[in-house]
Amino acid sequence: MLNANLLVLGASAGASAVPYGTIIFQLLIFLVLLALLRKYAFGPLMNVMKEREQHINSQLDSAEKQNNESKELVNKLREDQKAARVESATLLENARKQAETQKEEIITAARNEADSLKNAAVLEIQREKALAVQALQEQMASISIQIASKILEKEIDEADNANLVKGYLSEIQKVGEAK
Amino acid sequence: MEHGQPLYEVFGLYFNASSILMSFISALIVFVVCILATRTLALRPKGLQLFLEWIFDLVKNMIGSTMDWKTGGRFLTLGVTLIMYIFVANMLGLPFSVSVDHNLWWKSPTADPVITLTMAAMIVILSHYYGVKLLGPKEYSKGFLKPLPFLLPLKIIEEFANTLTLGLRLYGNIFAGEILLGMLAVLGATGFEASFGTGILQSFFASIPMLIWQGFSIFVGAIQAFIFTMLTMVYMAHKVSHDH
Repeated sequence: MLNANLLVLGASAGASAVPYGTIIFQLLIFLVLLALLRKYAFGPLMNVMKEREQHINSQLDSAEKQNNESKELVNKLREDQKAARVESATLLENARKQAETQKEEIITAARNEADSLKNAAVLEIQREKALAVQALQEQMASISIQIASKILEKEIDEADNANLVKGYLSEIQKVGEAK
Repeated sequence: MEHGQPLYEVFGLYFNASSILMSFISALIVFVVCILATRTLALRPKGLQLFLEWIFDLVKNMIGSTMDWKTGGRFLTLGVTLIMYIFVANMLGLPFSVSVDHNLWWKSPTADPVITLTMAAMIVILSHYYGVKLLGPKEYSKGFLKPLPFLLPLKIIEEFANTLTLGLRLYGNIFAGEILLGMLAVLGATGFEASFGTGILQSFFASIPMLIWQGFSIFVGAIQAFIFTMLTMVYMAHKVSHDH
Protein backbone atom coordinates (compact mmCIF):
# COMPACT_ATOMS: atom_id res chain seq x y z
CA MET A 1 0.00 0.00 0.00
CA LEU A 2 0.94 3.60 -0.40
CA ASN A 3 3.67 4.64 1.97
CA ALA A 4 3.15 1.61 4.14
CA ASN A 5 6.87 1.23 4.56
CA LEU A 6 7.22 4.76 5.73
CA LEU A 7 5.64 3.87 9.03
CA VAL A 8 8.22 1.22 9.67
CA LEU A 9 11.04 2.97 11.40
CA GLY A 10 14.39 2.55 9.73
CA ALA A 11 12.96 1.55 6.39
CA SER A 12 15.53 0.71 3.79
CA ALA A 13 16.58 3.26 1.20
CA GLY A 14 15.05 3.48 -2.24
CA ALA A 15 11.43 4.11 -3.16
CA SER A 16 10.36 3.55 0.42
CA ALA A 17 12.89 5.93 1.93
CA VAL A 18 11.64 8.79 4.04
CA PRO A 19 11.00 11.57 1.53
CA TYR A 20 12.80 14.35 3.35
CA GLY A 21 12.37 16.50 0.26
CA THR A 22 8.61 16.37 0.68
CA ILE A 23 8.96 17.24 4.34
CA ILE A 24 11.15 20.24 3.62
CA PHE A 25 8.93 21.34 0.80
CA GLN A 26 5.78 20.96 2.87
CA LEU A 27 7.28 23.00 5.70
CA LEU A 28 8.37 25.61 3.22
CA ILE A 29 4.97 25.78 1.52
CA PHE A 30 3.10 26.08 4.77
CA LEU A 31 5.42 28.62 6.36
CA VAL A 32 5.53 30.73 3.20
CA LEU A 33 1.74 30.58 3.01
CA LEU A 34 1.53 31.64 6.64
CA ALA A 35 3.96 34.51 6.12
CA LEU A 36 2.26 35.72 2.94
CA LEU A 37 -1.19 35.54 4.47
CA ARG A 38 -0.01 37.39 7.55
CA LYS A 39 1.46 40.12 5.45
CA TYR A 40 -1.10 40.55 2.71
CA ALA A 41 -4.39 39.23 4.06
CA PHE A 42 -4.61 38.70 7.79
CA GLY A 43 -2.71 41.77 8.87
CA PRO A 44 -5.01 44.20 7.08
CA LEU A 45 -8.06 42.17 8.02
CA MET A 46 -7.15 42.13 11.68
CA ASN A 47 -6.46 45.84 11.52
CA VAL A 48 -9.93 46.38 10.15
CA MET A 49 -11.41 44.15 12.82
CA LYS A 50 -9.51 46.02 15.50
CA GLU A 51 -10.57 49.31 13.97
CA ARG A 52 -14.18 48.17 14.01
CA GLU A 53 -13.84 47.14 17.61
CA GLN A 54 -12.43 50.52 18.55
CA HIS A 55 -15.08 52.24 16.47
CA ILE A 56 -17.85 50.36 18.23
CA ASN A 57 -16.26 51.00 21.59
CA SER A 58 -15.94 54.69 20.98
CA GLN A 59 -19.47 54.82 19.63
CA LEU A 60 -20.73 53.07 22.73
CA ASP A 61 -18.75 55.42 24.92
CA SER A 62 -20.00 58.50 23.17
CA ALA A 63 -23.54 57.17 23.15
CA GLU A 64 -23.33 56.63 26.88
CA LYS A 65 -21.86 60.07 27.36
CA GLN A 66 -24.52 61.68 25.25
CA ASN A 67 -27.16 59.74 27.06
CA ASN A 68 -25.88 61.05 30.38
CA GLU A 69 -25.64 64.54 28.97
CA SER A 70 -29.16 64.46 27.65
CA LYS A 71 -30.37 63.10 30.96
CA GLU A 72 -28.67 65.97 32.75
CA LEU A 73 -30.11 68.39 30.24
CA VAL A 74 -33.58 67.01 30.71
CA ASN A 75 -33.24 67.31 34.47
CA LYS A 76 -31.96 70.84 34.15
CA LEU A 77 -34.73 71.78 31.78
CA ARG A 78 -37.26 70.24 34.09
CA GLU A 79 -35.93 72.28 36.98
CA ASP A 80 -35.85 75.38 34.83
CA GLN A 81 -39.40 74.76 33.81
CA LYS A 82 -40.43 74.33 37.40
CA ALA A 83 -38.66 77.55 38.39
CA ALA A 84 -40.19 79.39 35.47
CA ARG A 85 -43.62 78.14 36.41
CA VAL A 86 -43.15 79.32 39.99
CA GLU A 87 -41.80 82.62 38.82
CA SER A 88 -44.63 83.19 36.39
CA ALA A 89 -47.10 82.30 39.10
CA THR A 90 -45.57 84.84 41.51
CA LEU A 91 -45.40 87.43 38.75
CA LEU A 92 -49.03 86.86 37.95
CA GLU A 93 -49.93 87.03 41.61
CA ASN A 94 -47.98 90.26 42.07
CA ALA A 95 -49.57 91.76 39.00
CA ARG A 96 -52.97 90.80 40.27
CA LYS A 97 -52.25 92.37 43.65
CA GLN A 98 -50.90 95.46 42.05
CA ALA A 99 -53.89 95.71 39.78
CA GLU A 100 -56.11 95.24 42.78
CA THR A 101 -54.43 98.03 44.74
CA GLN A 102 -54.35 100.24 41.68
CA LYS A 103 -58.00 99.63 41.15
CA GLU A 104 -58.71 100.52 44.76
CA GLU A 105 -56.60 103.65 44.48
CA ILE A 106 -58.26 104.73 41.28
CA ILE A 107 -61.67 104.09 42.66
CA THR A 108 -60.88 105.94 45.89
CA ALA A 109 -59.37 108.83 44.01
CA ALA A 110 -62.33 108.97 41.69
CA ARG A 111 -64.70 108.79 44.59
CA ASN A 112 -62.83 111.54 46.43
CA GLU A 113 -62.76 113.68 43.38
CA ALA A 114 -66.37 113.06 42.72
CA ASP A 115 -67.16 113.90 46.33
CA SER A 116 -65.15 117.05 46.27
CA LEU A 117 -66.70 118.04 42.95
CA LYS A 118 -70.12 117.33 44.33
CA ASN A 119 -69.40 119.32 47.47
CA ALA A 120 -68.05 122.18 45.43
CA ALA A 121 -71.08 122.02 43.19
CA VAL A 122 -73.39 121.96 46.20
CA LEU A 123 -71.63 124.95 47.75
CA GLU A 124 -71.74 126.74 44.45
CA ILE A 125 -75.39 125.94 44.07
CA GLN A 126 -76.11 127.18 47.57
CA ARG A 127 -74.13 130.29 47.02
CA GLU A 128 -75.79 130.91 43.69
CA LYS A 129 -79.13 130.20 45.27
CA ALA A 130 -78.44 132.62 48.08
CA LEU A 131 -77.35 135.24 45.60
CA ALA A 132 -80.35 134.59 43.41
CA VAL A 133 -82.64 134.76 46.40
CA GLN A 134 -81.06 138.01 47.51
CA ALA A 135 -81.28 139.47 44.01
CA LEU A 136 -84.83 138.27 43.77
CA GLN A 137 -85.64 139.82 47.10
CA GLU A 138 -84.19 143.11 46.07
CA GLN A 139 -85.86 143.00 42.74
CA MET A 140 -89.09 141.83 44.26
CA ALA A 141 -88.93 144.64 46.71
CA SER A 142 -88.39 147.26 44.08
CA ILE A 143 -90.91 145.63 41.72
CA SER A 144 -93.41 145.42 44.54
CA ILE A 145 -92.80 148.99 45.41
CA GLN A 146 -93.17 150.00 41.87
CA ILE A 147 -96.34 147.93 41.55
CA ALA A 148 -97.63 149.24 44.85
CA SER A 149 -96.68 152.80 44.06
CA LYS A 150 -98.32 152.44 40.73
CA ILE A 151 -101.41 150.99 42.32
CA LEU A 152 -101.62 153.32 45.24
CA GLU A 153 -100.11 156.26 43.42
CA LYS A 154 -98.42 158.43 45.97
CA GLU A 155 -101.02 157.49 48.70
CA ILE A 156 -98.44 156.09 50.91
CA ASP A 157 -95.03 157.41 51.62
CA GLU A 158 -92.46 155.55 49.67
CA ALA A 159 -90.29 154.94 52.70
CA ASP A 160 -93.16 153.61 54.88
CA ASN A 161 -94.20 151.47 52.00
CA ALA A 162 -90.76 150.04 51.61
CA ASN A 163 -90.66 149.13 55.27
CA LEU A 164 -94.06 147.54 55.03
CA VAL A 165 -93.10 145.51 52.00
CA LYS A 166 -89.84 144.42 53.55
CA GLY A 167 -91.72 143.26 56.58
CA TYR A 168 -94.01 141.17 54.38
CA LEU A 169 -91.15 139.80 52.44
CA SER A 170 -89.20 138.75 55.48
CA GLU A 171 -92.36 137.07 56.65
CA ILE A 172 -92.57 135.30 53.31
CA GLN A 173 -88.93 134.36 53.61
CA LYS A 174 -89.48 132.94 57.04
CA VAL A 175 -92.36 130.93 55.80
CA GLY A 176 -90.19 129.78 52.85
CA GLU A 177 -87.36 128.76 55.11
CA ALA A 178 -89.69 127.06 57.44
CA LYS A 179 -90.99 125.02 54.56
CA MET B 1 -6.40 0.37 -7.10
CA GLU B 2 -2.70 -0.01 -6.50
CA HIS B 3 -1.18 3.42 -6.88
CA GLY B 4 2.44 4.32 -6.73
CA GLN B 5 3.76 7.70 -5.82
CA PRO B 6 5.83 9.84 -8.15
CA LEU B 7 9.05 9.93 -6.16
CA TYR B 8 11.99 11.84 -7.52
CA GLU B 9 15.45 12.02 -6.10
CA VAL B 10 17.13 15.40 -6.18
CA PHE B 11 20.44 15.99 -4.37
CA GLY B 12 19.93 12.78 -2.41
CA LEU B 13 16.54 13.97 -1.13
CA TYR B 14 13.36 12.20 -2.12
CA PHE B 15 10.50 14.37 -3.30
CA ASN B 16 6.96 13.14 -3.63
CA ALA B 17 5.98 15.30 -6.58
CA SER B 18 2.25 14.71 -6.26
CA SER B 19 2.15 15.64 -2.57
CA ILE B 20 4.20 18.72 -3.22
CA LEU B 21 2.02 19.68 -6.17
CA MET B 22 -1.22 19.18 -4.30
CA SER B 23 0.09 20.92 -1.20
CA PHE B 24 1.14 23.83 -3.36
CA ILE B 25 -2.29 23.94 -5.01
CA SER B 26 -3.99 23.94 -1.60
CA ALA B 27 -1.79 26.76 -0.42
CA LEU B 28 -2.44 28.65 -3.64
CA ILE B 29 -6.21 28.30 -3.29
CA VAL B 30 -6.11 29.45 0.33
CA PHE B 31 -3.89 32.36 -0.60
CA VAL B 32 -6.08 33.46 -3.50
CA VAL B 33 -9.26 33.17 -1.44
CA CYS B 34 -7.74 35.17 1.41
CA ILE B 35 -6.37 37.82 -0.91
CA LEU B 36 -9.72 38.13 -2.68
CA ALA B 37 -11.47 38.34 0.66
CA THR B 38 -9.27 41.18 1.87
CA ARG B 39 -9.11 43.33 -1.28
CA THR B 40 -11.99 45.57 -0.32
CA LEU B 41 -11.83 45.76 3.44
CA ALA B 42 -14.75 47.53 5.01
CA LEU B 43 -15.90 48.30 8.52
CA ARG B 44 -19.20 46.76 7.50
CA PRO B 45 -18.06 43.44 6.06
CA LYS B 46 -19.86 41.52 3.37
CA GLY B 47 -19.22 38.55 1.10
CA LEU B 48 -15.84 36.90 1.41
CA GLN B 49 -14.62 39.26 4.11
CA LEU B 50 -17.53 38.19 6.25
CA PHE B 51 -16.62 34.56 5.60
CA LEU B 52 -13.00 35.13 6.57
CA GLU B 53 -14.04 37.02 9.68
CA TRP B 54 -16.30 34.12 10.58
CA ILE B 55 -13.27 31.80 10.39
CA PHE B 56 -11.33 34.26 12.53
CA ASP B 57 -14.09 34.17 15.11
CA LEU B 58 -14.15 30.38 14.98
CA VAL B 59 -10.41 30.16 15.67
CA LYS B 60 -10.68 32.92 18.25
CA ASN B 61 -13.24 30.85 20.13
CA MET B 62 -10.96 27.80 19.94
CA ILE B 63 -8.09 29.80 21.39
CA GLY B 64 -10.39 31.38 23.94
CA SER B 65 -11.54 27.98 25.14
CA THR B 66 -7.99 26.71 25.69
CA MET B 67 -5.99 29.68 26.97
CA ASP B 68 -6.31 33.33 27.81
CA TRP B 69 -6.32 35.74 24.92
CA LYS B 70 -3.16 37.56 25.98
CA THR B 71 -0.98 34.53 25.31
CA GLY B 72 -3.23 32.90 22.73
CA GLY B 73 -3.74 35.90 20.49
CA ARG B 74 -0.42 35.30 18.73
CA PHE B 75 -1.64 31.93 17.45
CA LEU B 76 -4.67 33.38 15.69
CA THR B 77 -3.12 33.67 12.22
CA LEU B 78 -1.49 30.26 12.60
CA GLY B 79 -4.83 28.73 13.50
CA VAL B 80 -6.67 30.42 10.65
CA THR B 81 -4.04 29.37 8.13
CA LEU B 82 -4.08 25.81 9.49
CA ILE B 83 -7.83 25.36 9.40
CA MET B 84 -8.19 26.86 5.92
CA TYR B 85 -5.22 25.02 4.47
CA ILE B 86 -6.22 21.64 5.89
CA PHE B 87 -9.85 22.07 4.90
CA VAL B 88 -8.93 22.95 1.32
CA ALA B 89 -6.40 20.10 1.24
CA ASN B 90 -9.02 17.64 2.47
CA MET B 91 -11.49 18.80 -0.15
CA LEU B 92 -9.11 18.55 -3.10
CA GLY B 93 -9.20 14.74 -3.28
CA LEU B 94 -12.98 14.50 -3.15
CA PRO B 95 -14.22 15.39 -6.65
CA PHE B 96 -11.77 13.22 -8.61
CA SER B 97 -8.33 11.72 -8.63
CA VAL B 98 -5.81 11.64 -11.44
CA SER B 99 -3.21 8.97 -11.92
CA VAL B 100 -0.63 8.82 -14.67
CA ASP B 101 1.33 5.62 -15.31
CA HIS B 102 -0.07 4.15 -12.07
CA ASN B 103 1.23 7.10 -10.18
CA LEU B 104 -1.44 8.99 -8.27
CA TRP B 105 -1.08 12.68 -9.02
CA TRP B 106 -4.28 14.40 -8.02
CA LYS B 107 -5.31 13.58 -4.45
CA SER B 108 -5.58 15.28 -1.12
CA PRO B 109 -2.13 16.23 0.11
CA THR B 110 -3.38 15.26 3.56
CA ALA B 111 -3.80 11.67 2.29
CA ASP B 112 -0.01 11.47 2.45
CA PRO B 113 1.31 10.71 5.97
CA VAL B 114 4.51 12.58 5.22
CA ILE B 115 2.55 15.79 4.80
CA THR B 116 0.37 15.33 7.88
CA LEU B 117 3.22 14.19 10.09
CA THR B 118 5.26 17.15 8.91
CA MET B 119 2.45 19.46 9.94
CA ALA B 120 2.04 17.66 13.27
CA ALA B 121 5.74 17.76 14.01
CA MET B 122 5.84 21.42 13.09
CA ILE B 123 2.99 22.14 15.51
CA VAL B 124 4.56 20.20 18.37
CA ILE B 125 7.96 21.78 17.82
CA LEU B 126 6.31 25.20 17.65
CA SER B 127 4.56 24.48 20.94
CA HIS B 128 7.92 23.69 22.54
CA TYR B 129 9.40 26.83 21.02
CA TYR B 130 6.64 28.99 22.45
CA GLY B 131 6.85 27.13 25.74
CA VAL B 132 10.49 28.15 26.10
CA LYS B 133 9.87 31.61 24.75
CA LEU B 134 6.91 32.53 26.93
CA LEU B 135 7.73 30.68 30.14
CA GLY B 136 11.52 30.70 30.08
CA PRO B 137 13.70 27.55 29.98
CA LYS B 138 13.38 26.89 33.70
CA GLU B 139 9.61 27.01 33.87
CA TYR B 140 9.43 25.07 30.60
CA SER B 141 11.60 22.24 31.95
CA LYS B 142 9.58 22.11 35.14
CA GLY B 143 6.56 21.38 32.98
CA PHE B 144 7.94 17.89 32.35
CA LEU B 145 7.99 17.12 36.08
CA LYS B 146 4.37 17.99 36.61
CA PRO B 147 2.13 16.74 38.00
CA LEU B 148 4.56 14.14 39.47
CA PRO B 149 8.31 13.89 38.79
CA PHE B 150 8.36 10.13 38.16
CA LEU B 151 5.98 10.62 35.21
CA LEU B 152 8.84 12.23 33.26
CA PRO B 153 9.28 9.30 30.83
CA LEU B 154 5.56 9.34 30.10
CA LYS B 155 5.67 13.07 29.51
CA ILE B 156 8.45 12.61 26.98
CA ILE B 157 6.62 9.78 25.26
CA GLU B 158 3.51 11.97 25.26
CA GLU B 159 5.19 14.52 23.03
CA PHE B 160 5.94 11.88 20.39
CA ALA B 161 2.53 10.31 20.82
CA ASN B 162 0.96 13.73 20.32
CA THR B 163 2.87 14.20 17.10
CA LEU B 164 1.94 10.78 15.79
CA THR B 165 -1.74 10.94 16.73
CA LEU B 166 -2.14 14.47 15.45
CA GLY B 167 -0.64 13.59 12.08
CA LEU B 168 -2.03 10.09 11.65
CA ARG B 169 -5.56 10.99 12.67
CA LEU B 170 -5.77 13.47 9.82
CA TYR B 171 -3.98 11.16 7.41
CA GLY B 172 -6.11 8.13 8.31
CA ASN B 173 -9.42 9.92 7.92
CA ILE B 174 -8.61 11.49 4.60
CA PHE B 175 -6.73 8.52 3.18
CA ALA B 176 -9.51 6.10 4.10
CA GLY B 177 -12.06 8.39 2.56
CA GLU B 178 -10.13 8.56 -0.67
CA ILE B 179 -9.55 4.81 -0.78
CA LEU B 180 -13.25 4.16 -0.44
CA LEU B 181 -14.08 6.78 -3.06
CA GLY B 182 -11.53 5.20 -5.39
CA MET B 183 -12.97 1.75 -4.86
CA LEU B 184 -16.48 2.96 -5.53
CA ALA B 185 -15.26 4.71 -8.66
CA VAL B 186 -13.61 1.51 -9.84
CA LEU B 187 -16.78 -0.41 -9.04
CA GLY B 188 -18.76 2.01 -11.13
CA ALA B 189 -16.36 1.81 -14.06
CA THR B 190 -15.42 -1.88 -14.28
CA GLY B 191 -18.91 -3.14 -15.02
CA PHE B 192 -18.56 -1.97 -18.61
CA GLU B 193 -15.94 -4.66 -19.25
CA ALA B 194 -18.67 -7.34 -19.00
CA SER B 195 -21.45 -5.69 -20.93
CA PHE B 196 -22.97 -2.23 -21.36
CA GLY B 197 -26.08 -3.14 -19.35
CA THR B 198 -24.07 -4.43 -16.42
CA GLY B 199 -21.95 -1.30 -16.62
CA ILE B 200 -24.96 1.01 -16.37
CA LEU B 201 -26.41 -1.03 -13.52
CA GLN B 202 -23.13 -1.16 -11.64
CA SER B 203 -22.52 2.57 -12.14
CA PHE B 204 -25.97 3.29 -10.84
CA PHE B 205 -25.54 1.18 -7.72
CA ALA B 206 -22.05 2.51 -7.12
CA SER B 207 -23.14 6.12 -7.46
CA ILE B 208 -25.53 5.98 -4.51
CA PRO B 209 -22.98 5.07 -1.82
CA MET B 210 -20.49 7.31 -3.60
CA LEU B 211 -22.83 10.27 -3.28
CA ILE B 212 -23.34 9.54 0.39
CA TRP B 213 -19.65 8.95 1.02
CA GLN B 214 -18.63 12.15 -0.73
CA GLY B 215 -21.06 14.10 1.40
CA PHE B 216 -19.72 12.39 4.48
CA SER B 217 -16.15 13.07 3.36
CA ILE B 218 -16.87 16.78 3.15
CA PHE B 219 -18.12 16.57 6.70
CA VAL B 220 -15.09 14.52 7.78
CA GLY B 221 -12.72 16.89 6.00
CA ALA B 222 -14.22 19.90 7.78
CA ILE B 223 -14.24 18.11 11.13
CA GLN B 224 -10.63 17.00 10.73
CA ALA B 225 -9.50 20.52 9.86
CA PHE B 226 -11.35 21.74 12.95
CA ILE B 227 -9.89 19.01 15.17
CA PHE B 228 -6.35 19.57 13.94
CA THR B 229 -6.58 23.28 14.69
CA MET B 230 -8.30 22.69 18.01
CA LEU B 231 -5.63 20.19 19.11
CA THR B 232 -2.93 22.59 17.96
CA MET B 233 -4.36 25.15 20.35
CA VAL B 234 -4.67 22.57 23.13
CA TYR B 235 -1.00 21.56 22.78
CA MET B 236 0.03 25.19 22.65
CA ALA B 237 -2.01 25.91 25.75
CA HIS B 238 -0.35 23.02 27.58
CA LYS B 239 3.04 24.46 26.85
CA VAL B 240 2.47 28.16 27.34
CA SER B 241 0.09 28.38 30.28
CA HIS B 242 1.36 28.62 33.82
CA ASP B 243 -1.14 26.47 35.61
CA HIS B 244 -0.11 23.11 34.17
